[in-house]
Amino acid sequence: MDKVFIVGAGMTKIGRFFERSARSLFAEALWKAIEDAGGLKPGAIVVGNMTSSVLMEQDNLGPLLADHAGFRGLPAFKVEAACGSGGAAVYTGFALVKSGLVDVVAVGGVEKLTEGVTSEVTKALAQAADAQYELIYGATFTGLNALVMRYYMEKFKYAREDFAYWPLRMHEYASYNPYAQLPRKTTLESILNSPIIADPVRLFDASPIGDGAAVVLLVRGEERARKIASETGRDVLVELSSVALATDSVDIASRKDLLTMESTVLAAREAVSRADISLRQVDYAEVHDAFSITGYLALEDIGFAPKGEAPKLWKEGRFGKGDKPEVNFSGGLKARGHPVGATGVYQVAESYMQIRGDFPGFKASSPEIALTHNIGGVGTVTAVSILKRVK
Amino acid sequence: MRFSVPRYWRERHSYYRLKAAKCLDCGRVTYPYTERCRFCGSSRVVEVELVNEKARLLTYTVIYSAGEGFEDKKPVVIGIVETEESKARLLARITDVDVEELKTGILLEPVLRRINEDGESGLIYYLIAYRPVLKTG
Ligand SMILES: [Zn+2]
Repeated sequence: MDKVFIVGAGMTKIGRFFERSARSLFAEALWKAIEDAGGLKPGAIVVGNMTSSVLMEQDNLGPLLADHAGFRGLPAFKVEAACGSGGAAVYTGFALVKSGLVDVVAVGGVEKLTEGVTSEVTKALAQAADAQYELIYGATFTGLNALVMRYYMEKFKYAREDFAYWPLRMHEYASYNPYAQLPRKTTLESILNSPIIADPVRLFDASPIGDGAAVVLLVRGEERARKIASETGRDVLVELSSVALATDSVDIASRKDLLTMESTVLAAREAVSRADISLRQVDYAEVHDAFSITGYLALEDIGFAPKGEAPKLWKEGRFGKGDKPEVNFSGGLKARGHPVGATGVYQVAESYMQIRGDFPGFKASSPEIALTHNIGGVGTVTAVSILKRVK
Repeated sequence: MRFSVPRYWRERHSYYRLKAAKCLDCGRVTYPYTERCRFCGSSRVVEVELVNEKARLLTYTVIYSAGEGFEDKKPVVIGIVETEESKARLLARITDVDVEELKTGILLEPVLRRINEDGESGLIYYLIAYRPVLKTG
């Protein structure tokens, strides 16, 4: 089968945009991607989004966004997998291109979170969890992650402070990223003294609530990709080599092991195998750190760190500049931001630009192989993509 | 929550008797009851009720930033408990305890509590919660 290539990417800055609608944010990201690909227009649009039904009271999002971006008539639809909607959209778009059904697909994500009352937004995001057996008791999304974090701390004997090193580094990386929602450095003291949301999770352990949109353009066939690259004056081709998706239970209590995100284990294994590489070859990764604990579990369950050791290795400086892999130079969900349904697409756009060598933030060391990792729910659904530089 | 009456009513055995599924093939007990084992997919499952079992607190959280409908219930204490005999795990409200006294590993017992209500005229959610077993003697 023909290979799939990424030929353009567009992102909006993430933040609180009272003057911008979801349709306007999405159109900006889409047209940036089209310009980035030398004017190449898509034959279909797949959009990741979680909360439009609840917070915008808007379904039929695909056609709405297509129409308002000037693409009335194209096949367009929304893909929903909670905070993993973006990754699931990449999975879907990859399948459309790989199968030969559509030659050029715009895979995007958009989310508008900042306009609701806080308790309404908290509830909308919590709908990633099991309504009948978790939310009914008053559980929140942060609360569920807090249950996992405490269990991890007690099982592997970590102190609260050990978790502060994740947000510390994410904020530093984000300070270089023009698209980041929180582009400023912070201190251990501010992290450890931030308010408790759901004990032991503090405000600085959690990704912020923000609006944003991102789009990547996927095409089928090396010839087509090469033509676009030469027209846009680039000598680097980036293949989207594989995308895998896997699931686990929605409720966390019924899992075999509370501290293993089985969907991540499965998706990472599948993506790596389909890309015909070994995990050790991965130079760069963007992983899903909705909370500090999620970032550490991601490193372990993808296979970058042994179980129980990620916080220790991270504190020692692993996964930084010059290491293999280098991780989350965007600033991660923690500080780049987490416009939920768009996050998985931001990760692919950022990794694509890191391989191309023109990511406008903290730069990776000329990566050839990158991995992106996007989760919906508390480890419930995971999409993993492998990107490769092609000579 | 704004559940419809049927949606709440049809779960009554899960909510009030803690009806779970015991798999005759892999031996696991999972809550709530499902016709197929959620671990191995087997249809050879039998019903068990967890409501008579005490349980241990595996992990807990104290939620200070509550979701819609729970704003006046803060802080909300949630835990994952493991029942003593069946070793089934479930998420539940932890009640009748001071936040400072919470500790993993403590023994708990099920008790009926009013958890929430949908406004002035909506459903009232009575559910099983867990409280610490008092030491006697
Ligand atoms: Zn079984």
